[in-house]
Amino acid sequence: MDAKWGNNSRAVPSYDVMTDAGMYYETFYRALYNSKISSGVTAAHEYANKNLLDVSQGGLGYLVYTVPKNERLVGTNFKLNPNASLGYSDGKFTYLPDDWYDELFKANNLRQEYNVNVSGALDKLSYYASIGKLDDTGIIENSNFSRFSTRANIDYQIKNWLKIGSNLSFVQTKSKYPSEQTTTNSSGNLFFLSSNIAPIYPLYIRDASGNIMRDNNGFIMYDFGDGKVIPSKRPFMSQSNPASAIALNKEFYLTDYFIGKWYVIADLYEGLKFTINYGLTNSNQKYQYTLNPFYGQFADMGGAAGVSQSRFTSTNQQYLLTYQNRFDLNNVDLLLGYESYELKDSHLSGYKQKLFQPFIPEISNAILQPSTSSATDTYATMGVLFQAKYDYDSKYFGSASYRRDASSCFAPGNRWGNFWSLGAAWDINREDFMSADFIDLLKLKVSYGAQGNDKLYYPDTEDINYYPYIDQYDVTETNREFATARSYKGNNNITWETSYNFNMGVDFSMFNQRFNGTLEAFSRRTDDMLYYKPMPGSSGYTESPMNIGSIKNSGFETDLHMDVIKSHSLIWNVYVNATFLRNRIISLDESLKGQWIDGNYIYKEGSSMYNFYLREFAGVDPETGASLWYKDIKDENGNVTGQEKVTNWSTATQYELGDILPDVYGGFGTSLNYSGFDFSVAFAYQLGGKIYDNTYANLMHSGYSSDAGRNWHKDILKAWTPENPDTDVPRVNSNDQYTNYISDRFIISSDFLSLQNITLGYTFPSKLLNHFNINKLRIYCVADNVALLSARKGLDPRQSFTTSNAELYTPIRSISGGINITF
Amino acid sequence: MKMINKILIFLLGAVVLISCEDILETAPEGGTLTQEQKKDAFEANPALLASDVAAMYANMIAFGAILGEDYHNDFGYAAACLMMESNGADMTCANVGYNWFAPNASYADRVYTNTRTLFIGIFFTSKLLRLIWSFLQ
Repeated sequence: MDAKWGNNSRAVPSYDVMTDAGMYYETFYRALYNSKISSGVTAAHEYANKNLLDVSQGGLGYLVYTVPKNERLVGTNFKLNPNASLGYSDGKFTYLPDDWYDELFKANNLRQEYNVNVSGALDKLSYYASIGKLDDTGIIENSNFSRFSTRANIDYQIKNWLKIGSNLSFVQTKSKYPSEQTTTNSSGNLFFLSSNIAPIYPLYIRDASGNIMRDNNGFIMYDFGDGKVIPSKRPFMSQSNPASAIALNKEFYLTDYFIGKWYVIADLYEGLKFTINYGLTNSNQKYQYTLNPFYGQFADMGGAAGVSQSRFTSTNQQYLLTYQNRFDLNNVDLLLGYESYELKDSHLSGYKQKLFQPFIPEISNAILQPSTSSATDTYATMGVLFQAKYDYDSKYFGSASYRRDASSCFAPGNRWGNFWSLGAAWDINREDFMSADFIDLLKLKVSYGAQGNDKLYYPDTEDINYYPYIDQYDVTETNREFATARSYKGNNNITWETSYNFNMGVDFSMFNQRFNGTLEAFSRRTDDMLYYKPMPGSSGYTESPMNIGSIKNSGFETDLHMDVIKSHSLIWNVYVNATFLRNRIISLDESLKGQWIDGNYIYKEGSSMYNFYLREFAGVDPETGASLWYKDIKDENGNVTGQEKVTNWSTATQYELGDILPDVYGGFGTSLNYSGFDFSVAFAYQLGGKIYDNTYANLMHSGYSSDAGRNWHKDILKAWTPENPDTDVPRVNSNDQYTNYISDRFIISSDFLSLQNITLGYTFPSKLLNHFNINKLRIYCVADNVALLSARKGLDPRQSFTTSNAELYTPIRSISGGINITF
Repeated sequence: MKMINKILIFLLGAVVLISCEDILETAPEGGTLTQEQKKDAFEANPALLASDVAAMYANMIAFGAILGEDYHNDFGYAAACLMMESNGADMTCANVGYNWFAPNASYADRVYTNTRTLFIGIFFTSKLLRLIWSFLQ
């Protein structure tokens, strides 16, 4: 039995953004000022002062300081008026900036987890049963997760030659999951807004005396920045306030999962067995939501409600004939089988607008614009398999396997693929010539094999395309008649993508198993990759699925464990693991002639597929403060003869920046056991790679009109000014559109060190517990996802190998305490 | 039980349960329609043939059909008209907050690689070609 209680918080610190309203006004004032100076206007101070708060002229909209009459908010020295005091009232409303993050995130969330399990065995029967419950209140309003899970396993020896078993598990989850929290640039994303909004904007509407106002329904009045309630307009994410949507919209999922596995094993004759395995997975999900009729985008439509229900069922069957026997020192293990998998994926959804009851997420509660849809997809695979394993005296090992699989994803002629593997191992320590006593295990192993993949998504989505070989059409309505437009161009010729894995390594253990580990070299080449090849738009479609090209991932892996101290009362263990990885494109489709440029990425034969193709930042013009980029100078024949620096981003040349994949990643940690106490820490790391820091790029804008009201990273304070010409941060200037456009300026090291886990526990001595009929009692404290050290505060390089965005529902740190009892 | 009986029972069971290759003949129900499903429907009811032509109009306002649903300005013919309109010297618009057509107003689409240029190009050629294709088929 195990029970655990804890609290969650955001694991990654926020970027070092401006939190001082005055600092933001000062910098924005300078951006407006610079925009006039750079175009030769002399009355730049007048212009900046006049337009600082004027939204229609690219200004900020909100005044949140009380400034003495006839005085300026920001002086001609670019400093906030020292006589200005924070908070401004126009007699009807009070304007006061809020810390959106602090207001929106729940500090007092609670995570509780309970697990109970029993197991045992009778004469011919063994059993295991468990139930578990998890409740997590989430770190923002209206988000939570609860899970109930149970499992029951039974194995029964019916006759001496017949054994049956069943393994059932059921899980029910309920979650509230406000949508859009994972869409980086969405106005509905709390994480995006709270990290990107300038520190001058209020979250709430406050009355003249500074109290947060409530409307006729008693709902908190949030400021949408649209000028409808208070007269000010916000240029950044106008008409939106995710806090309101999250408080007033309803959105929840209810999901049931059932997973069942059954088997029958019959002993036919001296090591010859016949096994039937049957598996059934079923998940049913109901998703319901209301979009509130009070505020936000759906207020004008009277709100909306939607319900969708999906059902996913898969069955897996296996019929295996196995033979295992020993002849003197020869061990033989053979397997012959048939396997099939079938899946049905169906969904039904409905939607209507104009709600009668604002918080009931059912379609019959609404009346207008009905829309419904439903569809079912089917997928199947089948195959035969053969496997042989042999060993001589547990010293020499050999194995071979072959399988032939067919997938419904491919056209009848291309359905079947052949896959196989070969392996060998040698336990050197069992040889007579190995007489070193300190070695317990020394095993060499090598293997090579081919595996298949048939999975292809619809382009730019996460929806699996179950029929990628067929042309597909949408049936829609036009003027009350059918319209069948092709939505997808299939390719009859596509077939399995194949990966060839080569592994060679050594397992060892020495000094009475105090030092053990694995060293392994691997090479994985994927051929005939299932991929969408871009087609010229003039062909009528933009891409077509193909088996194109091949890539190779190769490297070296190691995993070492060592008991540094091992005595009766004290055990101290350390471990480290590392994966060195290299990625190379072996070949591309022939028509690409060895190189494919896709926007900001370049794919070249012989190079890594993680290869940026970007403009290169050439520093800051010390005269004007403008951002510079490199551009190739070419002669009449198109040969590059030199490089120049240009101020126009769009005319600069794009360059290949080289591999950005980390050289090595892995983990290490240590554990300590001392007279009942146990303590462990675990770290993860990554070294030698690079990443594009998109969040930082957004926060280093120049004050351009479409970025007005977006927060700044404090690094902008190092921006060029006539007094500070030697800097690598270009000027702020509300006319500079391109300053923070994508370039290698925002590429940064993706090295990180993260503290993944700390556990401290105490197990009570069994002598003490025997009086209470308790076998084992342990109390413990666990912290997961504790801290992250990366090249820039706020940067989380763990999300992706290429680009980092911090504006998501990021990993959370959880700290909990628990108790574990065994009777 | 004799061994031969055991084997027979299991082999018989396996033969009954093992599915034949038919399970691999899958097709969507609802959602999308395959070429073959369309052909069968046309043969059963030739009047449905008009739906291929009607698709031309229906497609005119498809959302996310060319650039993908990440591009909120990708909503068909009307979007193309608004883009061209925003190119006009007499069209003014504020470049504040969301404005899908600001790059057209600032002539940022005057490069052939711009997504808006791509959109217009692909939109019209693909409409035409799809129509020709469906007649050829």
